[in-house]
Amino acid sequence: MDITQIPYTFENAEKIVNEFYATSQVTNEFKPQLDQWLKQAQNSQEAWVFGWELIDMNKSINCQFYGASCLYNKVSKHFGDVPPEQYDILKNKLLEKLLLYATTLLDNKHQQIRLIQRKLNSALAKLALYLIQDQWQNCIQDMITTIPNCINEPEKHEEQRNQLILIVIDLLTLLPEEYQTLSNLNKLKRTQINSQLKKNFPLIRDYLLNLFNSFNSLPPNMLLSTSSLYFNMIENSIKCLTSWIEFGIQMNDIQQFIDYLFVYIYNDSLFDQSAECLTSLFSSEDNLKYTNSIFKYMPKILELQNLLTKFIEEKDNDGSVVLTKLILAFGENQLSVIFDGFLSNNDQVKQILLQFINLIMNLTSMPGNFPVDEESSDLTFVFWYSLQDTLLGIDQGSNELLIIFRPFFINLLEIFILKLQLPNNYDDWTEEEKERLRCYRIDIGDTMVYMISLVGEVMLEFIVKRLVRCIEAEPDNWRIQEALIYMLQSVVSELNESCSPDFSYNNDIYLISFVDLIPKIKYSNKHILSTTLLAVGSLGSWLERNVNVLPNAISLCLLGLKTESVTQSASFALKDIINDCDLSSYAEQIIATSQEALKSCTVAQNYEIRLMSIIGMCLSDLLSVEYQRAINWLQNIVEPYIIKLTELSQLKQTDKNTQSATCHILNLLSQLMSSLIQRSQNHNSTDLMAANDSTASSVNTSFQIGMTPSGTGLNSSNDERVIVNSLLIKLIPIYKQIISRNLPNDLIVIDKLFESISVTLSSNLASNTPQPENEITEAILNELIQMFYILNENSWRRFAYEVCRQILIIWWKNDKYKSNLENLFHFSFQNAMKLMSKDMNWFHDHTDVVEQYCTCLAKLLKSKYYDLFEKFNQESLLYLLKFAQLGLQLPEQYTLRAVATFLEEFIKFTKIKNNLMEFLEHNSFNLIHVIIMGISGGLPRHLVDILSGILYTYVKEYPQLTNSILHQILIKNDFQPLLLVQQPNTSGEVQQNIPSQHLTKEQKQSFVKSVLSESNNKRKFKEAITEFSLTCRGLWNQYGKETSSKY
Amino acid sequence: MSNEYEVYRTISLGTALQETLDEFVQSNQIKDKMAKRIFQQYDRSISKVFQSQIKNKVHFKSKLDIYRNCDNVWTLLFNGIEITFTDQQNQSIKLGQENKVKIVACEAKSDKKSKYNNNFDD
Repeated sequence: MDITQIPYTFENAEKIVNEFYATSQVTNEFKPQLDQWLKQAQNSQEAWVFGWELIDMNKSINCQFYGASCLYNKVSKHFGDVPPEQYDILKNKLLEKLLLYATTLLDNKHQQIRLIQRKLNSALAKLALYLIQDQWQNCIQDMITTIPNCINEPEKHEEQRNQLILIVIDLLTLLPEEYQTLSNLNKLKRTQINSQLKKNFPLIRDYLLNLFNSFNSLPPNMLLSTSSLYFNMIENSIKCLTSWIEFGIQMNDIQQFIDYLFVYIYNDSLFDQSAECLTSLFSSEDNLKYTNSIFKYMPKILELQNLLTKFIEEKDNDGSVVLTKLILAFGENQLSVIFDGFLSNNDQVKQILLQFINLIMNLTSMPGNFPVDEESSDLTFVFWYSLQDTLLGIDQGSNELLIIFRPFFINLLEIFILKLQLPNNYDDWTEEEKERLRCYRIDIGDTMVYMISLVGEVMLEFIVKRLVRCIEAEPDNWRIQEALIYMLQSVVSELNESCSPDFSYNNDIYLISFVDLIPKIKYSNKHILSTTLLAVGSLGSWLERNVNVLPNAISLCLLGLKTESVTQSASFALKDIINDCDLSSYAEQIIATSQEALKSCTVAQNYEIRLMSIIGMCLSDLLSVEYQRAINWLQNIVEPYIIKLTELSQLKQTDKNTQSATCHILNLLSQLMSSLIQRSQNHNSTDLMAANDSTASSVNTSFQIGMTPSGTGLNSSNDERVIVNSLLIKLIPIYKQIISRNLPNDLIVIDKLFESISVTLSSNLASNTPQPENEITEAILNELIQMFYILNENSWRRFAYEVCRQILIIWWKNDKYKSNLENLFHFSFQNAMKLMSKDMNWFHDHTDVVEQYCTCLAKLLKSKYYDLFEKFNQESLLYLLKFAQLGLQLPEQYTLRAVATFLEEFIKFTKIKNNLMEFLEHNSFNLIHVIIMGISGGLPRHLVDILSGILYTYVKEYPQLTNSILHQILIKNDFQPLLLVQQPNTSGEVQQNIPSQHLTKEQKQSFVKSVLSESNNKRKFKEAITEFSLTCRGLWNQYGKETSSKY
Repeated sequence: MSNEYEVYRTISLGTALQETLDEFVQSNQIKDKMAKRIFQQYDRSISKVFQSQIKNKVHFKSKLDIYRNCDNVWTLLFNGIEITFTDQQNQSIKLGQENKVKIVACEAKSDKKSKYNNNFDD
C-alpha cells in the first residue's frame, strides 16, 4: 500500500508513530516512507487537531513528543492558519498542557517528558513573539506571574514552586532564541517584535535579579549540589542572561549581574556558564562602546590568574581554554583603553595594565607542549596581532607607545623559543598531534612576521645572538637551536622582501653570522638538519648578494642530499638557492651528489623530478665554464635512463609497473631538458646570438654516437637548445617504439609521452632565439611529424594537439617545412572531426580533446597563422563550425571557454578574409541559435558570460547579419525558452524540458535592440544578455540579479 | 570577525550551489528569498571555513604587472608565478612569464579602528 495516501488522522498518526519507533517490527525499507508520512502530516492542516489529541499522558511517550512537535511546527510555520479570535484559545490550551507536564515532571524523571515540556515551551515562546506586538503585549509579565501562581494549593510545595520557576526561566530564554528563527516575517514585523522584546527586558532583568539575590541567601551546600533544583535555577538563569546578551541587550541594562557572574565563575559547576556569559558580554559588538564601564572590571579579570593557576595545576585544558577566551574577549576589545591608560599620568592605571598584559603573556606561555599538554596558547596570537596592528595604526603618542610595548614583544620572542621546541617524546605523538603542532608553529611564525614592523632589526639580532650563545654553551641542546633556526626561517624571507633593495646592513651582519654557524651546529637528528636546510633555502635571494657565504650553504645542502631522512628538505633548499644564484663553481659537486641520490632509489618520484631539475640547471651553469665536462656529465646522467627506456619500449608484455616506470622516465627526461633551456634563458636572456651552425652540428653528431664532442666552449643560449635537440633526436625513435607498442590500449603512456614532448617544446617556444637551422632540427621535425602518423584516432588526445600546435609555431616560418606542416595540420583536423562520427555521448566523453583542439585553433588564429586556415575548403570549414556548435553545448566551463575563444577568433578572421565573410553569413544561423538556447537556459547560468563573448564579437563584426538572425530566431520563429529541470516523478528523477517563462514580443524586441546598440560597451552588452538570460530562466528577481554579479 | 564576501561564489562549489538553487527556484520548490539567504549563508560559512580550517601557507613569487584596490578588494595581475605550498610535501607550481595570473584578495579582518570611533559611555 502507498503510505503517502493514508489520511492524516489522530488514529493513523498514533499508529504510524508507534510503528516508526518499534524498530524490531518495521523493516528499514519501510521506515523512510513512514518518516515521510510523519513529516508531511506534521505540515498538514489536520495536525492542528491530532497534535492536541496526541499530547495525552495515556499515550506513548513517542506519541506525546510527536504531538508536541506538531504543535510547535504549526505555531512556528503555519501561524497564519489561526483566526485572530482563536488566539486566546490557543494560548490557554498551550499553557494548560505546559503546566500539566510541569507538575508531572516532579514525579516522573523520564528524560523524554522533559523534552516534551521543552517543545511546548518553544511553541508558547513562538506564539508569544507573534502576539507581543498587539494581542498579548503582557506576555512576559504573564509568564513571570501566572505560571508560578497557577496551582491552587494553599501551601505549595517548595520543589513544585521551583519547578515552575524553571519553566519561566526556560520560556524567557527561548524568547530571544526563537526570535532568531522568525524568518517567515518581514523586516518591519521583526523590527517591531525586536523593539517590544527590548522594551520588556526590564521585567526580565528584575525577575532574574530577584532570583540571583535570593540565591545569595541560600546555604552554600544547596548551590553546590548539581542535583538540586536551586543549582538548575542558577545555571538556567545564567543561560537566560547569555541568551539576552546575544540578542543585543546592552551592558548598561545588566550591570548588576556582572558581580554575581564574577562570583559564580569560581564555582566549578557554574564556571562554564558564567565564563560563557561574560565572554558574550565582553565580545558583543554592541557593548564595545561601554569601554570605560568594562574597564572597571579589570581587577576582577586580573584575579582570574588564580583560577588559571588552579587549572594549570589540575591539567584542566578545557577550563584553561574557556578562561583564555574570556580574558582575550576582554583584552581584544580594550586596546584603545589600554593605550590611553599607558599614555596617561596615572601610575596605578599603568600598573594594572601592566599586570593585564602580563596575564596574557602568561596565557601565551602556558606550560607544556601544544597540543598535548595545553590547547589554549594559540588563541592568544590574535591578541598580539591586534595589539601591534592597532598600535601601528594610531597617530597620537605612537612613539611613546612603541617604547612601552617593544619590550613585551621581545619577551614574546623568549616565550616562542620555549613554545616552538619539539618535545622529547615527539616520535610517540600521533599524526594528528604532529600536524596540529606543525600548524601551531606556522601560526607562531606568522605572529613573528607581523611583529617585524614593530620590533625591526632587533628580531634577527635577538635570534642569532641567542643561537650563538646556545651553540657555545649548550652544543647538544638541539631543541632550542632548532626552535631558534625555525624562528629565523619564519621571518627571513619577509625581512628580505620588506628591506630589499636596501637590505639593512645590520641584518646582513646577522645573516652572515648565521651562515657561519652552519658548520658548527651538531646535526644530531633529522629535525634540526631539516629546519636548518629550510632556513638556508629561504635565504636564496640574499645569498645571491652574498656569494662569499655560499660554500657553507651548499655544503649543508649536499650533506642533506646524502642523509636519507631529509632529502626532501635538502632538495627544496638547493632548488631555492639555485633559482637565485649562479652555481657554476659548485655545479659538478651538486650534480655528482644528486646523481648519487638518484641512484640510491630510495626517494619519492616527485623528489627525483626535482633533483633532475636541479641537475639540468647546474648543467646549464657548467656549460658556460666547462663545456666539455658538462657534456660528459649529461651523457653520464642520461644514458642509464635511455637504456632503461629502450628496454621498456621493447617489452612484449606490459603491466602497471612498466607503465609507471615509462611515465616516470619520460617525466625525468622532459624535466631535464626544460630546466636546461629555461636556465639558459634566465642567464642569457639578452644574448640573441645564434649558435654557430657548424659547431652545433659537430656537437650533435658526436653526442649522438656517444663520442666526446670536439667543439670549443660556447657561451650562447643556443648551446642548451642544441644539446636538447641532440637528446631529442636520440629519444624520438624510442618514443615511436613506445607508441607502436602501446597502441591501441595504453593511452596513458602515449598521453604522458606527448606531455613530456610538450614540456620540452614549450621551453623552446619561450626562448627568445629561433630554432637553429640544421639537419638535426630538420630531422627532429620530420621524426615528430611521423610520430603523429603512427597514432590512431583514439590516441589523438590532449597533449598530441598541444605538441602539434607547438610544432606549427616553431617551424611554420620556414618555407621549406610548410608543406609537411600543412599536412600535419589537416591530419589533426581530420582526427578531431572524427569525434563527431559517433553519437553525442562520445563527444561528451572527450571534452578534454575538444578543449585542447579548440585551444590549439584559437591560439593559432590569435597568433595570426591565418595561412593555415586559408587552405581549408568550405566543406572543412562547415565541419569545423559544426564541431564548435556541438562544443557550445558542453557544460564544462573550460571546454566552453576554449570553444568560445576559437569562435571569437574565427569570426574576426573571416572578417579579414573577404571570401570567408560570405561563408559565415550563410552558416551562422544554427550557431547563433545554439548560443541563444544556451543563454536562455540550456546551459548553467555561470556559463552565460562565456557565450555572450561570442555574440558580442558577432555584433561587433557583423551587426547586420546578427540583427537579421536574431530577429528570425526570436521574433519570426517565436522563440520561447525551455528549461532543463529535474522533475521528480514516480519512476525516479528524470530530466524534462519544461516551458519556463513566456517571452512577449516586446521583450524580445527590446533584447535585440539593446544588444545591437551596445556594440561599443562590453559591460552594458553583458548586462543586457544577463537580463535576458534571467528573464528566460524565470529568475529576473532579487536573487537572480544578486547572484549574477561577479568579480 | 570575518567579513562576508561573494568572491567564493565563482568557485566550483559556488556554481554548483547556484545551479541547484536555480533549479529549486524555477520548479517552485523554494522561494527566491530563500535561495538568496542560502547563498548568504554560503558566503558566511565558506569564509569561516577558509579562515579557521585552512592552515597551510602558500608563498608566491612573481612580477606584479597591475594592481588595484576597490572597496577592500585587491586585484593583482601577475606575469607568470611560482607558488610554493608550505605543507609537508612543499609542492610548488611554476608558470612561465607568458601566463597571466590574477589574484583577487579581500581583507579578512573587519576594520577595528572604526569601532573605536564609538562614543564612550561614562
